[in-house]
Amino acid sequence: MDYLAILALVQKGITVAQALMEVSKDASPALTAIKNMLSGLPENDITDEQMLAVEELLDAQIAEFNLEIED
Amino acid sequence: MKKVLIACVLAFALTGCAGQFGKIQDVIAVTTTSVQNPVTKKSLYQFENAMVVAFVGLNSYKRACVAKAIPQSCKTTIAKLQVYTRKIPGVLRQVRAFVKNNDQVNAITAFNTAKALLAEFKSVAAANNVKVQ
Repeated sequence: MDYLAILALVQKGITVAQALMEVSKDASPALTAIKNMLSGLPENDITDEQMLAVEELLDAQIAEFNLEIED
Repeated sequence: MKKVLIACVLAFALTGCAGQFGKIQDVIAVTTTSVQNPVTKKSLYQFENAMVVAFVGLNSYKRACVAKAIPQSCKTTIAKLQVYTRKIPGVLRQVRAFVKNNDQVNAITAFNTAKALLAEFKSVAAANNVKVQ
């Protein structure tokens, strides 16, 4: 495993996360999803709670985008 | 308006920086490739997270559009994207149910349909300069 590459990835993630959170709470779903992708990949099983959390997150994002734009 | 612009710039920065997130990109590549293997909870979990990231980009674009911070041709672009995104909830409901019931034959079909929809709206987004990851 390339630990230096992982460290660089984490550092970059922290930098981006800080910048995003300073200006917009709207970035938090993306950050949560990125964190899930990084931490949810090992061989351990995904729990029902983890699954439900991402389902709710995704459903909310899709519902927002699918709403009509009001003029 | 300033806040919207900053959010858009940062959304773009996020997608740009994501280029360095090799691991994430690997996941996203996997989530847009058709599969014939069983759809596990883990693969569905990865896919749903990748979809969240994509939709955050779409919603940043939509918010900028609503705030009139970008050219109003964005409304046409959003309508084009919604042709695909409005099909996703139904397909997702199917995939989730099939995976929970371990109905692998139907799960694989529905999962590949969902992946195809993701690939299609990403393609439309890219063609219209909408940054989604």
